[in-house]
Amino acid sequence: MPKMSTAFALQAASDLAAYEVLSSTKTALPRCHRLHYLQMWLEKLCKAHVHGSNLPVDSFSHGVIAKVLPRLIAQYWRSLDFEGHPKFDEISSLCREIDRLHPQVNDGGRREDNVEYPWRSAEGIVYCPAQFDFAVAGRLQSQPGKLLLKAAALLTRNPSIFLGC
Amino acid sequence: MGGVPNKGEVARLLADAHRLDFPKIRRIVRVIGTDESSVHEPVKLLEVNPETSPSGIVPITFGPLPPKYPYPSILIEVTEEEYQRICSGELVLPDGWKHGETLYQAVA
Repeated sequence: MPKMSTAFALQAASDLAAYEVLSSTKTALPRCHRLHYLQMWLEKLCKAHVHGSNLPVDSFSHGVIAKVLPRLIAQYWRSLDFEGHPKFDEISSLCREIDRLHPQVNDGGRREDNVEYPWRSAEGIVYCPAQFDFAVAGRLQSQPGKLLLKAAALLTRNPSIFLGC
Repeated sequence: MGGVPNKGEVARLLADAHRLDFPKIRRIVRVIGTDESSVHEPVKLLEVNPETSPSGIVPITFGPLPPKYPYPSILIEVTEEEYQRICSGELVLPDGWKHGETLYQAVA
């Protein structure tokens, strides 16, 4: 039976595979679906790392991506001893937006937009995720966005980089 | 020839590196465990970052990166509100960890 950290890493890898299928040019599905898998993939990647520490952790559910992933990427970057210095603050901001894609992460009701359920805005307008233009999708095409996706995929496909440390 | 840096020095080096990576960090506090003198006990930092998610105490563990960072490390990143809840005892650090020296405090 796998350890919890290994199980999360395996599921993260499976979510990544689903995200890549949904991101391929052959699919014409609304962007909410690939963003849904992006959020699930990154959340499980982060939880795999946190469970690997064997520390007593408060019960936590969502909103861990901004807390964990930018630090994982920064530490990995440091270990490579590269000269360049990525925009980690922009990566953090992107991760926060990805956290907000989950319906339970809504900043106290100020951000109801999410990739799963319809919501009503403060002005009374009802939105449907399948017809919503999630701005974070465009931000993922930026240089920090590409670095975020590339590093997260690398960490997901090579969990030994962080598991067991 | 210098020897292995002590934990206090490594904590400062890590704090400096984290501030460089994440300029929006407002405060960095060293966290002291019950077995801090052991070389196996990680260097622990509590960092206040308004950009992070308010999702509680989530320790992030890293292995050593010698020679500059010869000890394992643990980072706990919290929002300002979460930090205030830690100070008031409403949120509790794991394993009996206590606040140590403040390594960085942003100018208001």
